[in-house]
Amino acid sequence: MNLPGAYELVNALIAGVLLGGLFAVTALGLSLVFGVMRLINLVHGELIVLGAYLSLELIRRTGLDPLLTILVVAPALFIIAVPIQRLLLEPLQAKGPEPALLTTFGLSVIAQNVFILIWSGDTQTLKAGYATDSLKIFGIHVPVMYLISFGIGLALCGAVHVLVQRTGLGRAIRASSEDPEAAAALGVDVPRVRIFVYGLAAACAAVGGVLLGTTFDFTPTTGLTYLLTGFVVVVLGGLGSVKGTLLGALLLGVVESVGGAFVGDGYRDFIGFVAFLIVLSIRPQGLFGRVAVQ
Amino acid sequence: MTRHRLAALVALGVLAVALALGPGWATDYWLLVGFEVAQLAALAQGWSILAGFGGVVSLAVAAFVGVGSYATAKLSAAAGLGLVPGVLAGGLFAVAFALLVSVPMFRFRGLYFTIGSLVLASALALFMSNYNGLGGNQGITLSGTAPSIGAAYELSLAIAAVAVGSAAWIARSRLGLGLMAIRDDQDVAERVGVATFRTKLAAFVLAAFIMGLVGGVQAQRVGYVEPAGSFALSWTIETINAAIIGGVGTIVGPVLGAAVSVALSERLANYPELHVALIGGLLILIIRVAPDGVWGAAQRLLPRTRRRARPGAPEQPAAEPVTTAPGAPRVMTEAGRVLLRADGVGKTYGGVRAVDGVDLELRAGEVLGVVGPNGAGKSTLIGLLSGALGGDGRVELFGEDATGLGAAVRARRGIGRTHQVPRPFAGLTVMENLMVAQMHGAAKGKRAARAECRRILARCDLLEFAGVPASELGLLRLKRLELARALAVAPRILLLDEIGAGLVENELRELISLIRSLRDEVDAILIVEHVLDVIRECCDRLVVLDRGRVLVSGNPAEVLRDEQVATVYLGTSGGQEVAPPRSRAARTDRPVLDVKGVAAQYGAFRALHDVSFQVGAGEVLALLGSNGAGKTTTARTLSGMLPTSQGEIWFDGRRVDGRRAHEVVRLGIAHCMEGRRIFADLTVEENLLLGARNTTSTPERRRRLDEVYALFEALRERRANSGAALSGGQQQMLAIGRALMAAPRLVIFDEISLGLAPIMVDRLYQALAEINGTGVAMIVIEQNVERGLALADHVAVLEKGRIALTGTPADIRRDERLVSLYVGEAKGTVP
Repeated sequence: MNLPGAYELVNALIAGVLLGGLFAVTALGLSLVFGVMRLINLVHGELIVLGAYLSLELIRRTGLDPLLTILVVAPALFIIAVPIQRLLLEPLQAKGPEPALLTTFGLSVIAQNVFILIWSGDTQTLKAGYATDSLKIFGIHVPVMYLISFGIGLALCGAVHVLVQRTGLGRAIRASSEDPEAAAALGVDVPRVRIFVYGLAAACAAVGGVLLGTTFDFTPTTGLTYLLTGFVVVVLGGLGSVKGTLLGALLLGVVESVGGAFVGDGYRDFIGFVAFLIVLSIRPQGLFGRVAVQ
Repeated sequence: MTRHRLAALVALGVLAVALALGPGWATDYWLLVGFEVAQLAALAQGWSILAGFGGVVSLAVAAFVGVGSYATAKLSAAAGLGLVPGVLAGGLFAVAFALLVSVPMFRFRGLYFTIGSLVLASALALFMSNYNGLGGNQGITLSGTAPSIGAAYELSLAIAAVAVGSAAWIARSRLGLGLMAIRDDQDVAERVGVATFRTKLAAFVLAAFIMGLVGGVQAQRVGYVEPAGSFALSWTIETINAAIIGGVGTIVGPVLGAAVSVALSERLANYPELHVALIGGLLILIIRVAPDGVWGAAQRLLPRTRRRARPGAPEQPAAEPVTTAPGAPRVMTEAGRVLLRADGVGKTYGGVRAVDGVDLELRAGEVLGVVGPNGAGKSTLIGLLSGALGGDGRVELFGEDATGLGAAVRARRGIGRTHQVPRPFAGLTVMENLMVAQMHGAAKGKRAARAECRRILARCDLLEFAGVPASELGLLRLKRLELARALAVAPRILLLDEIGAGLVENELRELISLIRSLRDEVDAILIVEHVLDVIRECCDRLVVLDRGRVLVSGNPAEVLRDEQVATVYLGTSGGQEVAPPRSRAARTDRPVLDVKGVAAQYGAFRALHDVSFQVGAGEVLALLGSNGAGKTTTARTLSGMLPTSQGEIWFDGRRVDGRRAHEVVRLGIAHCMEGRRIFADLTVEENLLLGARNTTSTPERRRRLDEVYALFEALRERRANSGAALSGGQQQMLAIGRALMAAPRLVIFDEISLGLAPIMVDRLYQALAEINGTGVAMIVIEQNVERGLALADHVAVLEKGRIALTGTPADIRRDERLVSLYVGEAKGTVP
């Protein structure tokens, strides 16, 4: 272990907060699906990676800027996700959490291997002119992509928060998540709400895919890492709460970044995971959550 | 032993010998295939023990395989440990690892455990690929030559045999029963005496041992270990695939699944990605069409195959005569001794003192009643006494301090309790529900336990349902099951939480005589109850709780005459029925709802037969009947929650049946469901607005809100509070208001008085009369007959899913059949 100086620490802190914005985007969909359907969507990581691959194809064919491809890729993922919920997951809803969980497990296995068959196992990245630039703020170098990811993450979380907390659709979403039968008795078309939420989650995943593909690189199996960081974020932040997700993401970003500065970059995710296990075993309801889901 | 069973055992023995002698007759290729199948079968079976019986879905298979591999490799390289000892060491290290992580991991429940296990496995894999010790990324090479394929095959065959044997044993054991109870409801498992941590740990350790052994054999076979291989997620993926494809929680399934998986991978050896993707697809297909796997499906298709025997399964139905007499006379504690003492017990929920410093004594030979308005803290008190809830103050049981003891220990010491809302182990049969309590709570052997369970079931009139899954019982029988299961822990003290709620007169009679007869079996009983007949006829002493404190206690008759009690609980009208004045202007004879010959069923159980009735515009129909007669089922059928299997429902000239619930609301039928069902995540106003989804106009929504607030002023004051922060009566107001927000022309009110103090019920029925005065037609389902009759224009009485009687309230009052069913019922909740 090599002790970092004050400069490195501040640098790591800022990078961590900014990175937290990206984590928030990649975790948001997981949080929504978990909150509304009580489903751990194990294919979430693959949805993120699919977003990145679709963006890659679009860039290759049209030369669009990666960030602009979000406008195409996010709706595309929404459309791809709808039949998954409607045809595969919705019919399993009444049978307890395991069948749907294991179905998403199967989907994740299929998706990873299909990615390899189509795009091979090579490492890819989404190229943008500004992807490797960095800004100097108060003497500290901040990669531009970190700033962009942070901004988009904040905006996306804000938009989803308003949708869930302030609109009629949001009321229906929250009611469906708490007591689907009672919601239906009041006129909520619950299966439709769930389909919408699943689609929305996939669209958020696509945004995350494009951002991470531009900031870092990715392979067909990258999804697992983002699924796991997503878990950490969602559980730290408390389930189904957008605010909690954002807070959890920022916290994880800082913990990983600062921890990485102490014990080496290879251990970043390891530190996050161990922090997660420790926190959860002390506070099973998460850091910011009120009640644990049984 | 039957001939079938003998034949099966002989066949199994021959197969085992043939497999064990494999290296003598099979080619190396087939031995390799056999080795792979045995490895995967062992892993899948280990995983299935946890998932199938315990309901614990672990995604950490790779972690245990990896630990086993590394332990074997390190000990071989460093200490020259031989083949078998090395593999055993792998298993033991995996067990040690399991013990180490079990403490934090078992704090996670259900889906959290699944997440935690994947994070754990990934953290370990990440650590190993970064850590420079243990050979770093190069890994470790084992000393000595790798075992021949024959030896590896035999070793993994033995491990698979251990795994399958363990699963077969668990399926019939006390441990398996405890695991299944935990799977269905961990809290309740604890309350009937299952040591949940130890039970889960046993299964977890067993699974870890098997996985560690497999890892050890793998390390020996390959000759080296490295992080990327030993901790690879593919171990987990293949294991789960094999277990599910074969059939989780079965004995043969995981083996079969392993064979299918390996066979497919041999076929597609040149297309590994395609193979894995296909297996993923197969997995999804199996979950959808055959959730119990290939083996489960095969068993269903072959009806002659014996179903696997579970410990609670009645071996020969009604083989032994069952006595309904009380059990062997037991030594009763000398009367008058204090068995349970609570000193200042309390509990705070989010700033509200639900129970606030209650002192209580329960003496041997005593039946103590606890009454009080809703939210007085009665159920919380039961939770505190039984150990289900932790709070402050001190609890003493049988002369010893029990404050820090959990629910399981208290159950084993002799506390049996019921739940106000029944919480059966839904996946277990009625018999198995009791067997869990007998074998864990009462610590009885299987044979003695079964006899005792049959006796208890006979006493509670449930014997004919012994083999029925608890999920298929109706509310009335679930309530009896609660009592039966509480008795099955062989309690010295029984805590009964509103077991009389929702029963009609003849059912109450039975309950009262049952409770009285229990005085000879248990030392003391504490009864929380709203039905005052039960209190009056069973209790020696009565305690009245109000806002978490003891208000009055003493002789039941005197306490019920107390003025304070009358004010807080019984209501100023003394619970006398109020027939509110109504405007009858809006009434017409034109039926707004026309139900024609409707039938409905739950699975195979036919709940409604040929039900026909009409409701005129602006009219009130009271729907009466005993529990299980089909009242709520009728309501659910009308509102589209339960499909009809026959007949037609017409509302205002439009066909209703065949539509889903949210569409029916839009036609103008609102349903105020039994049990209030308030959304705690939504504020009071949001709860209301949710009901107004059939209008997009903001002024219209505003107008409807104002109408509801005018009706229930208390809701306006609490409009920004969470729905959960309301009292029971306010929640019922909110439920009623929410149904009105759709501006319906017909509202179905299902049991709005259930569990509420009489004073609150008066208030709600006044509101109903006002609502009806505006021209809204109603169907009122009510267990309290007088309440229903006082408001109704017409009455329909259901009996066993059929309309037995219809008429005006005056007609019905004169009818003998109603009298026989309900005589004196109105007195049930009123002194």
